[in-house]
Amino acid sequence: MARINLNDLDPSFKFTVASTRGGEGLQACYACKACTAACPIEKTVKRYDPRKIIRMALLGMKKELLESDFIWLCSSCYSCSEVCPQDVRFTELIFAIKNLASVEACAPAGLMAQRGLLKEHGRLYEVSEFENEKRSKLGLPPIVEHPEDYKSLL
Amino acid sequence: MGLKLNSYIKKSITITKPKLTEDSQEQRVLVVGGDWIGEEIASRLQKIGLDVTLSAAIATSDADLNQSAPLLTGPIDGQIGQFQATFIESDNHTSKPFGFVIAAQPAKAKERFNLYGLKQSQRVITVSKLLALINEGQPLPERVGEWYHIAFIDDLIGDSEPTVLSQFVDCIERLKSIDKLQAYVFTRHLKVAGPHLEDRYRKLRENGVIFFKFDNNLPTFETQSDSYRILFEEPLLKQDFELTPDLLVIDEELRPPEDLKETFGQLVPFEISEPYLQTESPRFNSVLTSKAGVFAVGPTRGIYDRQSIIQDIETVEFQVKKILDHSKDSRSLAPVVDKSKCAVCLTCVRLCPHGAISFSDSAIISVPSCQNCGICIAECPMGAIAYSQINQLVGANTSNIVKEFNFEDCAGKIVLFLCSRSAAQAFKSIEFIYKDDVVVFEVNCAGSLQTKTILDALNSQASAVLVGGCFKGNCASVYGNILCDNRIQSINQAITGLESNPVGESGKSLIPAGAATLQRQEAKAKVLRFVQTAGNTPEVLMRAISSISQELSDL
Repeated sequence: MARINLNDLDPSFKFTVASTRGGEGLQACYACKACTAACPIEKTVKRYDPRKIIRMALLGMKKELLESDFIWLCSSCYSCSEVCPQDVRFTELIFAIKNLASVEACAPAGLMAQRGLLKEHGRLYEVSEFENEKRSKLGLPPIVEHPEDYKSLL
Repeated sequence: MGLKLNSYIKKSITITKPKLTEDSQEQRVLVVGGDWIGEEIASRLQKIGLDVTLSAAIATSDADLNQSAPLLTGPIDGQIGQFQATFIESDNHTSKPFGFVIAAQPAKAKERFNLYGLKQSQRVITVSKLLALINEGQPLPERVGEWYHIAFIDDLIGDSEPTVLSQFVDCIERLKSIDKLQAYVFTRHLKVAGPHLEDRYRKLRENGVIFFKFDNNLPTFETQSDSYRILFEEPLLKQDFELTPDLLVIDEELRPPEDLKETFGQLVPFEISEPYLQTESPRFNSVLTSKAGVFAVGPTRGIYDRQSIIQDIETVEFQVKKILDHSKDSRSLAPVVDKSKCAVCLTCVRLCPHGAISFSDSAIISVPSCQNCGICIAECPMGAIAYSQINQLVGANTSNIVKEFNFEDCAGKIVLFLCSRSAAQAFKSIEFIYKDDVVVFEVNCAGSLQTKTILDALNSQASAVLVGGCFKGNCASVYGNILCDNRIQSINQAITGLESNPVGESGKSLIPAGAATLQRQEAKAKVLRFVQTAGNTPEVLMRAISSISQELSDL
């Protein structure tokens, strides 16, 4: 990778993350690598490394982190939070980073499409006539969507 | 009991209570060193009613020192109660006596620009310079970008010095008011063992200071117009980075003051080299030196942080009070020189670890400085020094000299010579096991055992001889244990020589004086060993005794 100039990075990014809900533990990390050792994702996808993600956030590598694909790989298994001696709560932290990324419109296209579906239908798929017919055969009431309610909830 | 503690060596002799003579100047104290350390000591000792002189050391142009303060012009010499120092005071040369001398010079801060290949400039400064700028309220160099980047270099060579880290922490904490400040610390092996230092370091990290800890891939510096570009591989991300800091702050190496040798070289008998005014013995981990009445504070013994220095100052005050409280001599014995035998060969002067021996027409042992280790007695080639009753020291002659060791009841037993500071204490906890098999002689220091005494023990009916001394580096008399070990090794070599070759063919140098009197068949039955131990390690002594018993049963 090309050399990165620290002068061009954003030192305030770590404070932004730390003040986002879930990111409070960022500055407590002392890079012991327990999270990385416990992470099942890291076993198969080496570029997903919790410790390195924390370091990148601390160094202010905002663009590199938010535009990356690997922050979306977390399976939210909470193994990292279990082992962390500093109570960084990395799973919450990566949620915070993902939230920041989606605010900056950096989320993957699939996820954004899912968000659209959720907004539109209140589910990750549309309930069509086909489903309601099946339901009536089973003696269940039909599902009626209320898009305005979903929008107000979200 | 079966134990036979030799009656003539008294146990009441302690090094921490040096004794003053009648004509001593115990109320007068000389404090060498000009900055806050010296002033703090002076004010504390003045409060307890002592007459304190604060002076600068030799060969320093100490600008911080008060103009009217006297300046030392030569090395300090003498003994406790009667140290002599020469000064220039208000353009007059004077010489004054002092009861105590306290070495309290400030540390020497050595800049390290050359070490990293850097050049000092407006944007490249030492940490003391930055502290001075902050203290004086001077402005820092202008920022180039939006953020003000400060890079601190904290020892890229070895382990960092906690005192220097605490200086960095001071700087960063006091620069908090600057808007958009980002501090980076480039370090190698960061050490946080200082008062509250780990806590302060953690707070810095939590407040956004970035620490880069390098292992082998050290950063390099590239010249910019008025600063440097730092090129490095981030150790965690394994990614190349660069940083052009607005201010580059370099650590300094703290060293003991450079003039220790000139000022105190005459007093402290060992070679003053690296690092300070003390030897490696843990006994000297406080402010004591091997010379009674001379104390080392702070930087003169390699201690640089303020809190530990204040502890040192309190310890000095305590030690001085303690000596004044116990100024009456409680010893009944001290070594004395038989003038008719002394050849003024200066062996004792060279070897005395406490700097207590001077000479004119014969060697002269200073009673207050002497700490009764007995090394001079054991090493005198003329046998001219022996213990004598202390009240008969003046004009001593051989009739006052204390009798030799008595080995009459040693038949079939193991003779133990035990150092009172280590092995004798260790033996107390195991004496119930061995009390029927051993005869114990407690000695002040293993170094006081003469070759002749050991040979006498071997020549008695004893089955073996074991000498217990201190671990290497632990000896209160600096090297008494090593001297004794050397004697025992050469005796053992001589005995082996006697066994394998007739006397005369085994090489003269191997046979110490008196060894020839050892009968060959007698020597064969003996085992002679030296063991290093400490007061709390009786198991070492037990192992040595059982291995000797094993060897004896094998013979």
